[in-house]
Amino acid sequence: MAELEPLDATFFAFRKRDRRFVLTLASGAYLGLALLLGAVYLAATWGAWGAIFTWYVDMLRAAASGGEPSMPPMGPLLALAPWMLLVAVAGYVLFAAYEAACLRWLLRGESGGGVFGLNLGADTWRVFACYWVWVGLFTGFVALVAGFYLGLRALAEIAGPLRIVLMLVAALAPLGLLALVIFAAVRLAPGAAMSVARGRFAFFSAWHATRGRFWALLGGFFILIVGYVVIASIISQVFQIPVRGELAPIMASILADGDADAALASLREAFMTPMFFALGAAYLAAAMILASVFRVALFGINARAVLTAASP
Amino acid sequence: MANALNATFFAFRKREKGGVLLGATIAFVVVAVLMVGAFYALNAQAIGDYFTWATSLGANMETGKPGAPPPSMDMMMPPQSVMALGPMYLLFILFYYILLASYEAACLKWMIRGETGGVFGLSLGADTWRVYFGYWMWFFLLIAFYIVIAIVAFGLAGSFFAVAGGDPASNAAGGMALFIPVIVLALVLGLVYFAVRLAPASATSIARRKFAFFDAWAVTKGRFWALFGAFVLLFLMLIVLCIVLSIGMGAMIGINAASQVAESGQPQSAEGVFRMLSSPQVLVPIVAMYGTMLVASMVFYIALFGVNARAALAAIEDGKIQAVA
Repeated sequence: MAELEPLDATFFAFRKRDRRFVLTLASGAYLGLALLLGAVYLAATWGAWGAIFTWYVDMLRAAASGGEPSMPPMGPLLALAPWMLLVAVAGYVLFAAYEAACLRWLLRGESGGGVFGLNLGADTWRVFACYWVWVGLFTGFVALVAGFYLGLRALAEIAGPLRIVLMLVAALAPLGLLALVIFAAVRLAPGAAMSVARGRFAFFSAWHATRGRFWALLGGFFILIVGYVVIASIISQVFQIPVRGELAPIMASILADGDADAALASLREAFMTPMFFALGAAYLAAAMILASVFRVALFGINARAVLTAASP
Repeated sequence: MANALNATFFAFRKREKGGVLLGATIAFVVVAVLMVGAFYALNAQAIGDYFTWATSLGANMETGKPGAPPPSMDMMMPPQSVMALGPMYLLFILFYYILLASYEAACLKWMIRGETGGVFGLSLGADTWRVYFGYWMWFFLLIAFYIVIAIVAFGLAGSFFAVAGGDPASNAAGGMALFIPVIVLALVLGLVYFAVRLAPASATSIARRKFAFFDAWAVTKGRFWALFGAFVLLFLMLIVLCIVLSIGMGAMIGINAASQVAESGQPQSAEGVFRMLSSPQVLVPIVAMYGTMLVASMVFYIALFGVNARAALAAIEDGKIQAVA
């Protein structure tokens, strides 16, 4: 078998290219539009949130004073549902536009068009269709697990002395099923990248592109995830130091006298300050930038897998 | 055919410059002691508060009559200064592992590339961060292993209900009980196998001058038993030494304590016991033993680094990985 070219995919997205800041601008545009979408959602549902927040505070008060917690307000909650669905779909279309913009640049060197590369062109809809395939695959997997255990239960009724073998199979099956999920997810991970590279929906071609690359890709994804979790945890811990400092005396007073109203007032006094608003904004910005770097790195791994499969 | 590994004592082979590993080790120990001292100095009040709180909580538990209400939440909660120790301890651990990574990188750089530099080899260069990130990889791989254990336990419980109908007296459940030790053994053997195959991850990253954690798998291909043997030998030597030292120290403390009891009678209080244990006749052997154990553990560390360095060098010789000059 011919030796495969080393993948070296983990940081492929950050390699030097002829133009700079294409991915940065696309990420900035995505974050800006995502925030705008969030703001539109909040504005559209503002009335419902007021009622839900009032119920939540009342419930906390009731829990602290040992009273009966009230039922959640069903009207405002139901009013949120259609907006949630709409925003979720819009959010995924936006993310598909972002992924398509990054992949076009990483795979074909194309940039621009729309808002810093984000547009509603054919590539975006191909990537969006890939998300639906993932949903379908996940649903199929859940059905497979349910069918497997139902079949096992039925077999156990007629297996007689072979039940012990069935038990062993049932015991090790979750591990096998997890391995199957990871294997399939890694092999199909570059589905969207494959579709952008070929200019047509080619999700399942990723299976051929990743042949012989499973371990390299899994290692790349693992390194990225570990790096992201470690850096995100450190950032979160650093930002939590002042929050903990303010929270500790309030928690101590809650434990000492259990006065929920006084505790709420103390929390408001402690955290509704310009310093904490600035801290929260800084944390949000750091978390969003880190998440963007992580997402771009993931797109890079998939793009690299497709490019190495295409190279002779 | 691959070269013989002969890795166990590779770290102690004669090289063109002497004292490099010793210098790095002394620098590491000195900085580690300074870090521990700084931690205690910065948190002396909180550490004192912790002991006061723990003692009062213990005393409260002891004096509480059966059936009496438990101590209040206010008393159960540690003081604020103790609560603040948590993040400080995390910070200390974070810096300690950076120091350890710097030490490992210094030793590996010398054994693999023959390079020195920094403060007796210790530096905050790229190699240190490669080794440090490798520690995080180990941490998350261990979490992944725990997840595997949880999934197997979940599978066992699921099979008990799905196939044996939740009846512990059924034949299938009884037979299954026999498989559990086999499954546990398989998990432990799997852990050992992965640990040995990935052990030279830091050494591989140093050899390749880039983060190459999983390239250790290629490095150890066909070398599992040689590496496993070297690690077992080193662990056995450390364990035997610790046992011998503990027995020797126990005997010396016992003899000295007995002679003190013969001279001045049984101690009558906890302070008396503490005074007896802190007398030079007892304290000196304890300090000597812990000193010897510290030296032994540092020699053990270096020997481990040496095994991994040798594996990486052998992989370069065999063409399994490319060294970057």
